[in-house]
Amino acid sequence: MDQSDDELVRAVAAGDERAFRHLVDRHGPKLRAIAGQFLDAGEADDAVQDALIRFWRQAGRFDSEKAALSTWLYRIVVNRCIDIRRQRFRWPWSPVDEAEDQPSADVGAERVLAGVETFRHVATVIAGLPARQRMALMLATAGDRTAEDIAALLGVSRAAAEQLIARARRNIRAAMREPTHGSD
Amino acid sequence: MDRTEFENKLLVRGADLDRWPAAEAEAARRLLATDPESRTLLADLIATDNAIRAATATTLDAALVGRIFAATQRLPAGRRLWSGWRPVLPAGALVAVLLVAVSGFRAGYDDGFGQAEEIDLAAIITGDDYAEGNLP
Repeated sequence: MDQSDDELVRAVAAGDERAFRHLVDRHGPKLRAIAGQFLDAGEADDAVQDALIRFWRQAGRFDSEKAALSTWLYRIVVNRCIDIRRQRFRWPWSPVDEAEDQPSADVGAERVLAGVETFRHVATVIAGLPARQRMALMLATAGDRTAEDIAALLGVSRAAAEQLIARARRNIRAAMREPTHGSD
Repeated sequence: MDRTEFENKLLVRGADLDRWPAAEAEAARRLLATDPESRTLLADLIATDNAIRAATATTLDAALVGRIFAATQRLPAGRRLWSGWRPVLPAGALVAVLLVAVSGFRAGYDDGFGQAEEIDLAAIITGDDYAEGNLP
């Protein structure tokens, strides 16, 4: 039977490397999927590595009653994504920007070039979402985070987080309903 | 719960009704039992979220995993050294306070009385107050 995160955290705190490997296998790919939406491959790998090694080093002080391990790991990766994007793009991380309500205009053209394969199509649409919508969507789907978690991770109100998640899902759903261009 | 409310909550909370607040999940299940369009909305969202997960899924690169575990070899895990001592910490703190109090009392006693005897003795030996003036 799968051990819970709390059980594995206690084992890691006692120096159990196998427990750490379980946690890496469980959370690493999800963290990498989220980071990969915002950072280049090397930066995304670094963000995941940093989060997991920080946990390894601080496992003895980790208090599962204060925060779930997954939330703690996501916070490190999300903060890294925000920091790097701020440096690179002067990305304003304000709560909700109405101007970002719709995906960027070039998504359609990119999608035509991308072809018809559903996953690739969806990946292209996701890549065209406004950054905050994309982050909220990734945390909600790949990360299985609740709106409350996402609000805390992004530093926005719960209502704003809910808006971001709903808009992102609407945009993806609408894109999936559109007939794809250039299909065989 | 009507269909519009269901759709709005679906888009925020996701398709797994077990993760919804119990009362909302119950209302949603009642609607789903009677409304085919709500069931279509649920099926659509499941398909959407599955597509999102599949489109963004990734595995950890072997080199990245190697770097992570190499780092764990260099850095010992942060052990929970004090966890076993937590139950006795209050008693330990009390003992520590008592020890400080006793030490303080003894130090005060020595300074107040033992040192006074030395001053007196020095004065007697020198025949004046010289010794007292040199004391710290």
